[in-house]
Amino acid sequence: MPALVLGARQGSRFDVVGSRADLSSDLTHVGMLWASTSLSSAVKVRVAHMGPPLQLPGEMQVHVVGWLEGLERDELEALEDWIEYMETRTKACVYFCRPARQRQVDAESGEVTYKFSCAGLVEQAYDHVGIRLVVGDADLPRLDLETLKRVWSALLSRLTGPQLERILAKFGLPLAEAPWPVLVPGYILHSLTQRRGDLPYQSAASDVAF
Amino acid sequence: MTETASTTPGLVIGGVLLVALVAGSGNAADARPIAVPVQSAVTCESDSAIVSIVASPGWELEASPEQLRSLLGSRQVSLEVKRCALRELVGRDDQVVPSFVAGALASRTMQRSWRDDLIHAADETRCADLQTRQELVTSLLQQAYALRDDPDPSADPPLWAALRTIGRYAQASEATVLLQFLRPQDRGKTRQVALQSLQTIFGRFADAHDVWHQEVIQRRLEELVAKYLDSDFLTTGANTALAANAFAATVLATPSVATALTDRVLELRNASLASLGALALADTKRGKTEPFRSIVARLRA
Repeated sequence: MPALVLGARQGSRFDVVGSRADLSSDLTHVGMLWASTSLSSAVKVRVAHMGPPLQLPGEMQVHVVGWLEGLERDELEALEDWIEYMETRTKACVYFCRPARQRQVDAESGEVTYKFSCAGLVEQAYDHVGIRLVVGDADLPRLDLETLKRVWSALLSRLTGPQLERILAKFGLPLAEAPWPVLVPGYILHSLTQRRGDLPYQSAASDVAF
Repeated sequence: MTETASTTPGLVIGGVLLVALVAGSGNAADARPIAVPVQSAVTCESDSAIVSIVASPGWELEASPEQLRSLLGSRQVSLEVKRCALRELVGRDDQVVPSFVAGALASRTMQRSWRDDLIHAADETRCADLQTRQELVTSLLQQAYALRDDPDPSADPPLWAALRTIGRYAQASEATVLLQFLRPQDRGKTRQVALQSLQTIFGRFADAHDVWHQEVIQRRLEELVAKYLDSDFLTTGANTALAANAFAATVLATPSVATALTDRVLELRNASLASLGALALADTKRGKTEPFRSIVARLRA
């Protein structure tokens, strides 16, 4: 299954796209193409992604793309169905890093809340059609704070001290538990370089970069 | 997907400001802008006219709850400042938000953007006070009627938020109001969210609190689900998602038809519908209890 760094190519709906921070090969964000389109790193494209917030659709810059070959029509339709199911729940989705995807039913109101990171959203969408891209949280490599600051630079880079600690904890990353096993965008793209029969992919720490 | 049984409030990052005050007599000719931190703006409010806000990043992270609440209630700050303060209080899950929203939504004249902010704020915070919950249901319902008939697609997200919040706080005996959003002329997504809210209500209450009301809802849901669970209807993702929510709402409102409806879903041999139906049912409080847990297992098998 292919995943590649962009020159220019045609992308298809639900292809997985990633973006990098400047001058780095670390992937900082990931989403799924909203529609078939011509891809170029110079142009933002419409995607389904957990910005935050969850946007169906939103826009993002794309530097890499990956896709599953041989997706059956019913699998593509199931992805479509899941996106439609989630569209009315976008405001009930909260950004969270660890675990990367989580569903909570409130004990009192009985109401559901979803929590996703950008990578968790992609993984959950493909999981709905029976495809596990990456191994579970417990088997992920542990990443330190400096690595996560590079990956989530937009969220974490301008914070220090207690503010940083508070926000990390809100995302499920309490400092006391560092380093953390956490799903990052690079793992998703690397999973798409594997044969489908070899999934879910056992990520390595070096897979933060693509 | 991991499941837990609590909620964590969202987080707001960003937005920042400097507050420009007009010092002096209050005469516009004497106006002299001064950049001050937000704390001073609150302190000086009674002495000076706050005339404008300019962007500057991160003040919300520094401001105390009291300062933010003061900005929310002030008549002298701009709407943009109130919006920032409201967003930050929502991010902190501040308990003043629900009562403020309930009161503010009762106003007959307000800017559209502010109305939408208030509705989303009600959706994104949790209210513990029963009286305030009732006030929220009443005021959100009024807004939802107006939004339902608005042809502008931008009315949809606040409408969905209003219906979702109504589902969170309404009693079973009040659930019939949601039938007003399941009319044939209502947009598909409006009907989907109304069905999700009925799921939330009937997923919360095990027994009917008002038999007459429940029967009205049961009849309407059974009409809808009979129409939706049809291969001719299930031709788009939007319709499949709608059918999944109709299935779950009907099963929760009328457990006696659960087995027959589950059989019907499986007969359609639509794996995605079965999976979404299971997800919709599992997305409720009663989804983990029998007979619903067994239905979820059958659909996922």
